[in-house]
Amino acid sequence: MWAAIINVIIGLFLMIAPAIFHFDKSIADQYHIAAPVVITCAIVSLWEVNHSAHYFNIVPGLWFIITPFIFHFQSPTARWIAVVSGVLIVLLSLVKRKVKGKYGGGWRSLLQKHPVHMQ
Amino acid sequence: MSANNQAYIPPAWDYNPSAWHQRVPLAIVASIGFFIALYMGLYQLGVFSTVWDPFFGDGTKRVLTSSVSEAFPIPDAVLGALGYVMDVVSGLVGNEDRWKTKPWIVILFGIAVGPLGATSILLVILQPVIVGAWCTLCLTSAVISVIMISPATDELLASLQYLQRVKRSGHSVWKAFWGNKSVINKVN
Repeated sequence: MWAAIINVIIGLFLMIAPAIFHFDKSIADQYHIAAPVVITCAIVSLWEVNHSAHYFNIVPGLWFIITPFIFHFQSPTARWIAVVSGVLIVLLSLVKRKVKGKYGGGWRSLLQKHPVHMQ
Repeated sequence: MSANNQAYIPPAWDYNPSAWHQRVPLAIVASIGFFIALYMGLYQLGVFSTVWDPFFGDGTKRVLTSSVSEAFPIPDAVLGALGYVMDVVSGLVGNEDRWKTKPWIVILFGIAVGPLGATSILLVILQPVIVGAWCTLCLTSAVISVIMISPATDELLASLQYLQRVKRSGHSVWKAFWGNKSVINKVN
């Protein structure tokens, strides 16, 4: 839960960072495309039933780590913010959360042979 | 009502995701989204000559009159408003056992909330990338759409698990989907 909240904050920061640090349009676009995805997955995962949504943030997190190298970000600030934020997002996405509710076995039950809600 | 609440808890759940206290707050939040979208839609239709934006100056105006906003036959905020109407209606139809008695409406509700949320995120991304401007009310609407996703999907999960039990027990999933009484009585 706390990890998801921090990821929401990082995502919000990544959305406003291009305006604060005056990034070029092409760099700003990278931030503006991936940051809303981070915020969305993190917010969705705040509810226990969808806590697994947090793992989806590994994708935009990794994207922030590699995108400065793929698109050759000229601004060192833009590079550092992307890489450091990306590493933090990935690490926070991996934080395990204690799930208290049962939810009939959750989403994975739909693919299981003997789901909890049928026993 | 509290006695019913106990009886309507799906197998291996701790609460009833179709309870009114779960669904009414969602309908209220969706109604707020509706009025925001309606206001922007009326501006797009020319009913209002100006549009309110406390933070981004003419940002809202630029977003709402952009090529993206006008890519559909009717203004995109009007489409958003219709989406919120679908959220409210499909959120309120049915009793507290609707995850079992009306899977079709729960799944419709899930479809209304899920894609509407996804579209909102897409529009948030398109604002700065294509239009080059931000819009306060559009961002507010997007936040509303995103916070609705999880509270709506728990009910969807309960309905899908019910249909899974129907399928495993050899009854017709199609009938159960539409709330066939004989299936409801045979499968928990």
